[in-house]
Amino acid sequence: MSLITPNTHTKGSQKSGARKQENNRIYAYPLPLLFIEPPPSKIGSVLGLLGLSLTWVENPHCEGIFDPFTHSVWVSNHEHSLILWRRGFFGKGDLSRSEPSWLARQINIRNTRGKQLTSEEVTAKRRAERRQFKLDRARAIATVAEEAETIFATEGRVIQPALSGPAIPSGATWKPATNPEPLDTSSYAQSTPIQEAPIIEEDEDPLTDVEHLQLTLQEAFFLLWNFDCLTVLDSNSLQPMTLSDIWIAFQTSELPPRTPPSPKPQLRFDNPFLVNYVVYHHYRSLGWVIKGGIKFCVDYLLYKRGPVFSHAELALMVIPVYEDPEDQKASPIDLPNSAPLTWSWLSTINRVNSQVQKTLILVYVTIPSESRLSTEILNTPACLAHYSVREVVLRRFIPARMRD
Amino acid sequence: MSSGSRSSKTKPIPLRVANKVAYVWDVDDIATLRSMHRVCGVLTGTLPHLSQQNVFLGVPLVLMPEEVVLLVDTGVAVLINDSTAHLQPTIPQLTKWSREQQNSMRSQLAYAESKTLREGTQSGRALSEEAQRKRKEREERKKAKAREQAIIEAEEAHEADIEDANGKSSGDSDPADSEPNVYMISSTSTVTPAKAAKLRESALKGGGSLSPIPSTSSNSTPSKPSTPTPSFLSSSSQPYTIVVPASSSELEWYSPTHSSAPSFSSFASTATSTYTTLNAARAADVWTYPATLTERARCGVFRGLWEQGYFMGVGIKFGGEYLVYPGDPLRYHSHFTATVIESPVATLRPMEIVAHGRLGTATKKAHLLCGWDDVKKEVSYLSIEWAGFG
Repeated sequence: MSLITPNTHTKGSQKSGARKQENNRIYAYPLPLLFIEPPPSKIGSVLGLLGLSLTWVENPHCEGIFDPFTHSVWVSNHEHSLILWRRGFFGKGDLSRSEPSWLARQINIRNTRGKQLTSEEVTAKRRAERRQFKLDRARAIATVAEEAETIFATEGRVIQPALSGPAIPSGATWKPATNPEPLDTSSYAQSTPIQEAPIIEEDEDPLTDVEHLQLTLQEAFFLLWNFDCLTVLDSNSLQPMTLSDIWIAFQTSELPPRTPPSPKPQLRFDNPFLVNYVVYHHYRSLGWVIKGGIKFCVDYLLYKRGPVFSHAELALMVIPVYEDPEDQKASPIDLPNSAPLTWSWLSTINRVNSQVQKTLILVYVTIPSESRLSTEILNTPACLAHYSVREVVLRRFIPARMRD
Repeated sequence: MSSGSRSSKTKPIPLRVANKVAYVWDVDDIATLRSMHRVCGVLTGTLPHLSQQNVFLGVPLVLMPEEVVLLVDTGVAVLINDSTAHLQPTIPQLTKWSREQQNSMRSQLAYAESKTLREGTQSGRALSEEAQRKRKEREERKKAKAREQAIIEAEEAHEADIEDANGKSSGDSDPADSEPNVYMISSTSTVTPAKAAKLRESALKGGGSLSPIPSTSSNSTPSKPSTPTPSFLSSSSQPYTIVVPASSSELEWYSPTHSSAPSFSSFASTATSTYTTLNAARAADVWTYPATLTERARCGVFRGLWEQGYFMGVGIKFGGEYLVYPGDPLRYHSHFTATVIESPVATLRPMEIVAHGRLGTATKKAHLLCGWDDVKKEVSYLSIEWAGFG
């Protein structure tokens, strides 16, 4: 479901096929970098024999501002955020649940009065319908019960009021009211974010895109360090930051604030930025689209091609392991899941994820010990070589049910 | 509480503690706990005739430690240290017990025999006297043959044993060592009761191992193979049941008011296996729950919910400590999954709220966060539900 060309949400079987084709076109590139092949020529084939290639790389060179308070990098340029989202699904819109679709939603509401739906609107519509269905059903049950009461009062017969049957709508038989007016725009305009309400009223103002794309620090660093396709500006001076500035700034922003602000931050191996970056880099390098997973109470979700193509099949839980337990005792940082997991927490997470058909993977990240390595090496990304990742797939086994 | 006053009239329910786990062995006690005191526990015993399933379970009932603490605190139950309540039996007690066992077996066999006879006559295939005589003869012949064969085998085995002993420096080899023995009884030979009994016996003598009968028999058949066995054992192929009582209460040497443990100096005068208070049980190291803040919080929360009339079950399946039922779990689904939080200022991670909200919505339960204040001994409750879902 793309924002700029919202699919006509029509019935029919050609819908999914058409959408799939369109998605394949829009999201054709897995990374922001484009590899342009020149048309086949003699020179090219000669060079190819020599192991050289005329393919050239088109680097989009996007720009973002580092915001230390939200631990993220903001990409405000619409073109740039579109590139980053469409080529690799980086970031999320700050007013949307993933794709930055706020502007499209506004234009949509204004122009078409909700005939073309963005994904948020589809959800809102479904919820409104569901609520209406429940009200209808309750009303029908109450009517049947009332009839039974009247029969008892007038004729003295006892009738068990039916809880199902032709008079009571069920999930299969209930249809939303055919009259389009009362249900749509008003009801889901209410359930969509509050920011929209004032915009609808001042109809004359031209819409300006107030939404930006938020990159997590891991995403931003992955883009700028590996592909050099992101320039990060300092939030105060708006000047481009150097790689080492960024490296230190990203780490510092994850450290607990120090009461006397010291100029030289104390770098640590168990910095949450580093631990998460190791995981992010690991899976991105293996071709997965890795997105945050808080909605399923895990750290990350892995998508095969991207969220628009299929649901995530794998849920990652990052478990930091200290090479030297002494480091953990001395650390001011309380990394989540670094203490032994309780059984009830593990079973909660596993249950939540098996409910949504996801396989839970425990990702153990080994944090190098300070006694073995000097924290000096944390000044450059070269230190990442000392981290290691191990994976354990967890599945709930129910002996009684999985016998056949 | 009404339950408290009721329990003062009736006898307190014995909770038998073994290895710091409390069991209830009496079915009536289980019913009382459930119907009068809203304590369900978990049945853990396998049903003897349905040992391949774990859906329906029987005694003993295992109680959650919180349930035990509550029951003892309210005076409904007492703790019995089960290992010390079994005293050393005296010889007359043992002989009496043994006699009863033998009687039980005999009566079972007699009953079984009369039953087969009855069935034989009832089925209309009443045998003529001639036929019965012939059948008896046939059986006699079979028995004699079997006996002969057993003796032959025993002798052969004996010889083999001697050979074995000659071949090896030590005679008492492991049964597995003498496995490749050409004189082994072939597996197809029919094992008659007499032979089986004899073999069993010899096996028992040969180091107590019952498993590979052929090899043990070759290893250690006694030189005198006709050790007298109880006649009913060898003469009958009928199976019989040895009943091990679920509760030890009927055993004469079981006495909760005494203790077989070497009495400590301070308890010398009052050596008993029954403890009516948690403090006494803790002093004797029989029952130490609750010992930590976590355990105190759990007990406090459990009692808080129980006093409001709820039933509690184990909640780990749903990601909490307890499942909270508005009535008997057989009649109601649980309304809440409860999590115990040790302190009113404990940190709650956002991830936990997401998890509990999601899980509760999917299982149609609200999640209950129960914060225990160890200073005020109070519980505060907060429920989480996922909003916005239809």
